[in-house]
Amino acid sequence: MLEVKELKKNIYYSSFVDEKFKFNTIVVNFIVSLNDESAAKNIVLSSLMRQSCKKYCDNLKIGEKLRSLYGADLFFDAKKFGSICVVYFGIAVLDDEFALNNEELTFEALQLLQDVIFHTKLEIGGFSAKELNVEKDNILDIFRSIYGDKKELAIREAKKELFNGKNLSVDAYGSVDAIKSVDGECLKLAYEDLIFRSKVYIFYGGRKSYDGSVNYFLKSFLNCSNFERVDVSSEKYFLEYEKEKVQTDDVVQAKLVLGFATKKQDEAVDIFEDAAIFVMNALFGGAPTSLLFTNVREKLSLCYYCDSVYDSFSGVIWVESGVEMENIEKAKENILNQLDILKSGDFTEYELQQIVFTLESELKKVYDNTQKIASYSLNSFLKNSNITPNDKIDLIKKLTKSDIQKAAKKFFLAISYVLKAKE
Amino acid sequence: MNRELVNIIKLHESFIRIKHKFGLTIFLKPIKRFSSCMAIFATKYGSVNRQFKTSKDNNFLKVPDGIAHYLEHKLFENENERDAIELFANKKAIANAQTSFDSTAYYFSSPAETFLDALKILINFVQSPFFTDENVDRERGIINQEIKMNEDNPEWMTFFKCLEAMYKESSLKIKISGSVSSIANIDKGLLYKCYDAFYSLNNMALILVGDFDELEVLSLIDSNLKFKESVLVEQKLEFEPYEVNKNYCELYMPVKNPIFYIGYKLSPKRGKDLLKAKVGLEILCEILIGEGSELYNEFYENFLVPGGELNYEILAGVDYFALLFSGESSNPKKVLERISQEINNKKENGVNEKDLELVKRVIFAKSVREFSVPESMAFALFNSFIEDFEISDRLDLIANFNVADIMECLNVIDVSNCSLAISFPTDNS
Repeated sequence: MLEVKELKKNIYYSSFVDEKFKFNTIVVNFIVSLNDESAAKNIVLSSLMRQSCKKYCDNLKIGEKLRSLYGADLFFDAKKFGSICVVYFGIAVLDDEFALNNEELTFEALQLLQDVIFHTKLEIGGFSAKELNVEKDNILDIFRSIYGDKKELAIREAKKELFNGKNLSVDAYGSVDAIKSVDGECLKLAYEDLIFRSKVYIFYGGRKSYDGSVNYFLKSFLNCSNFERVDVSSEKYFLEYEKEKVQTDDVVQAKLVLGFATKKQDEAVDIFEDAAIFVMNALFGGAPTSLLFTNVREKLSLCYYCDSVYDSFSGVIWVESGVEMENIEKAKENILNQLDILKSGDFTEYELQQIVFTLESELKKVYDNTQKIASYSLNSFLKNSNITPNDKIDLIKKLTKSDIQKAAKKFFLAISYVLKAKE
Repeated sequence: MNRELVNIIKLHESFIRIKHKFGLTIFLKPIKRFSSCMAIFATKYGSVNRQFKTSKDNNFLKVPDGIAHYLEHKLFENENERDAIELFANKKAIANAQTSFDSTAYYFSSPAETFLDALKILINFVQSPFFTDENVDRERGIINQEIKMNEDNPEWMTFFKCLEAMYKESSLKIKISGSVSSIANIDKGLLYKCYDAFYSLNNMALILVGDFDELEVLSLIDSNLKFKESVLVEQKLEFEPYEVNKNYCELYMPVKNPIFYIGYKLSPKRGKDLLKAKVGLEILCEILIGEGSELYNEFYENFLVPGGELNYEILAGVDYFALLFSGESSNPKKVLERISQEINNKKENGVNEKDLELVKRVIFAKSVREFSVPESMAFALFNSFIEDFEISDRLDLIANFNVADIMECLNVIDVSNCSLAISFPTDNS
């Protein structure tokens, strides 16, 4: 789908242009290793950079600029991919063709993003203590909000428990303590490390190519410093036993999370195997006609939601479900039964075909949306893969029942986590 | 069949609207280059339609709360006890449904090559209810789970707490999925009664967006639509006083930060007045609390609202019209005070013309976004059907909105007629 060009050592770029789009999006991904301290510094730093810069000195000024760009979306975040963290900044703006007064919205949006990334307040003495505290409080507040979302809380706690002691357990924002300890002094170095020393992947997607404006933007990365940008690699890990954890909270409905891992986490998975796991997970609980949905939710009425997600970067399949307190064990037993069905090959060609159809449809949709393309291409880039959505469709169509069975047999229950009501 | 080509000049878009001889409104939006197609089959029937009678009935029927949502769940099962989701999956389509206060929508997305096959399934399953004592009973377990899941959701609970505080009688305060006790009273007879009343084709729309041939889809629709006598439904509304029920209420949930909803109760409006008032409120909310506003900056810098961002929504129906703000705050009462002060300030001192012009562009871009992918295009057309407005009228209103219009809109809000609902953390949170 996308040709990724290496513009300079560890600076990569790809684009996707189609006249069907009405908005143009550019995303700059900085790729770094995941550890608690740097994750906390990076999220505080990027949060500060989003709120003000040398040219737009406060949140109000940035907000006014965005309004003048028809409410352009200036975004940033940090996401983890196994033990790798991606900190990204981006902007999505209405294409110039739709501007009511012939404004050059795309050029101006790229300039704003350039100002945010390269002309920070660090150039003029740094961020104030008040600004730093507001951002730290805002990030800490995100942690507090997660506490209110019991579904999210349960999955986070389960992951923390499973990967305890490994970088994989670190949150993309770091820990509460690490965020609290970020101070103004450390930000300059954190900025240099993130912006000038990390590997960069830039994606542009939109209605027109805007070569002049985009190239001007890209040049700012080529000429910004003489530091060497560093590549990162994933942490290898082993999970060989079943963990169990039960926590209590004020919940009406218990949250049951099961994590399934493979025994050979250090072995590289080839593209065919990866495709088989992708389909196997969809048949297990990742699609509307999955075994978990059809049997555990619909036939047995054991839970309102019960689905599975395959995290290909950590190699773990996560099953999340909301169940009545008295049904926790029964739900767990039946979820495990569904995996056994896959392992024993006790599913039909028809069921497999339905899943392949659903995945085909989902993969085709990637081409309809610049955000989806950006996300797909980043995933491929991190995996060093050049498989397009159409290639992946061809691959999954070739899979047989026995491939799915083989993929299922690799997984064992690594953790069982329950968040239930206090007695 | 009555066919018209509707142009939305400001969006460089157009669509076809057809009134089918059986009463159904059809929206067709053929587009090229997108991989997926989208279809929605919708009816103007939701949780607020609780008391009604048809021309065949002598008396009004009061139905259990949550029945529209229950009906949505049950329609997916056909007489062979096969779930329509499975039939869609066979055609590479992903289907779902949603029930709101005033509508129920069944929809799917699929690749273009299987669109007609999936469309046939959609049209047929929505027109073929199959309710038995057994299958109605079986669904109760799943819906009970859904209700309990919502009870764990602080935003959902606070939202309805706020509506309960605002409204004494209106059905708006009733939870869309009902309660465990209310749905216990739902049986197949009641489901058929509601289906026959509200799933009449003259109350429904079919919206199709994607790479298809107009004549082919129309022929498929013609051969799959079942003629049904038009049903006239009379609805009974309870008298709703102008004043809010309560100004304040609170609840305790396992949250770390207080979550709040502020609801300004407004006098219901209809037709073009309603559309203008809604556009005005949308512009006003962006001016008041959007990024780039003084209030956003104040909330952000003082950490009164984490991240500075508040949400707003406008609810409108026959007997309700409300403007709601929501978010998290350590001091929701202060947030309410500041929003009300700012509304009064704008009433007294007017609105900055430059702010108004910039915000109009923001709202315009949101409209373009709604027409940017097949899914959102379909839902934009769906909203125009349910809320009964023309998209181009809305865009013209936005373009022509002036300071005087905003002042008119501000005067609709009586800041004393409002409710605040707060979910505080439970002691041990």
